[in-house]
Amino acid sequence: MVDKIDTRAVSGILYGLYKALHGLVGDSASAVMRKAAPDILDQLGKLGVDFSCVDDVDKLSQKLGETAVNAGLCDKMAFSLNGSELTANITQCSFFDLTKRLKEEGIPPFGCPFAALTIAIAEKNLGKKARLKKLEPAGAPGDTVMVVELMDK
Amino acid sequence: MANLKSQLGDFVKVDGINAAVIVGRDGFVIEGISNDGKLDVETVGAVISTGLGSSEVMGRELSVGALTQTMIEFDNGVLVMGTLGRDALLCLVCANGANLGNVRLQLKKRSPELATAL
Repeated sequence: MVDKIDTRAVSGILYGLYKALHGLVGDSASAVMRKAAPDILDQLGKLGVDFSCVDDVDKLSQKLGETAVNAGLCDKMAFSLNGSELTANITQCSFFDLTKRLKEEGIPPFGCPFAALTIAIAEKNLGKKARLKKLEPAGAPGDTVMVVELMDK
Repeated sequence: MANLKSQLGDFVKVDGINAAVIVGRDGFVIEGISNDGKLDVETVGAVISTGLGSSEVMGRELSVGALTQTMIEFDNGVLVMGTLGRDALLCLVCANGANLGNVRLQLKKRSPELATAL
């Protein structure tokens, strides 16, 4: 079995899934990602990508950034914490074109895996409540900025 | 948030309303209150959001306009839900014997104030 998959195939599958989800529940599709994220995290752990060591924002930034780059999801993921806002600058996001295409069809970027994982880890490991505040293109084509708000439970 | 909690507290004082929850479209539980403490409001956000979302899509597909309120009856209770602006939703969990006319009226009357407080 091959251990690498063409991102175009993944993008095609995700395009269909995201479009169907948005078609079924409208803008509430973003809630599906919130529901899915803990299971994604759990499954990644079983597949050897373990985030259980993450117990502060610095470790979250380092581990998630490293994982995203190693998995080919982006070229770089740089985090910064400003008060309660955790900002991630994502360089050359592999899902940029997919997100752009969906956006052109009126579908917001609810399925962002970076946001889903950041929120799931923050809620599970850091004991915070977390919510996506901003996700939009920034800088060069392919680059994205994401802001997640962290709140005490 | 204290203001929201207090407004939701007023809801659960209405006879027959057991819990009131405000959730974001993303399933994030913004605030919730249960008058008997039995309902874990933190876990229901995504379910409420997608439940209402599918009703909205149904309305759009059947050309009956935007959703104002929805009511679902179950064996052991009734859910009355509505939108609070574009990005949030309100769900009231009611007992079977609740005066549903009054519940719907309360939701309609108090929703604009709640939406402003968000």
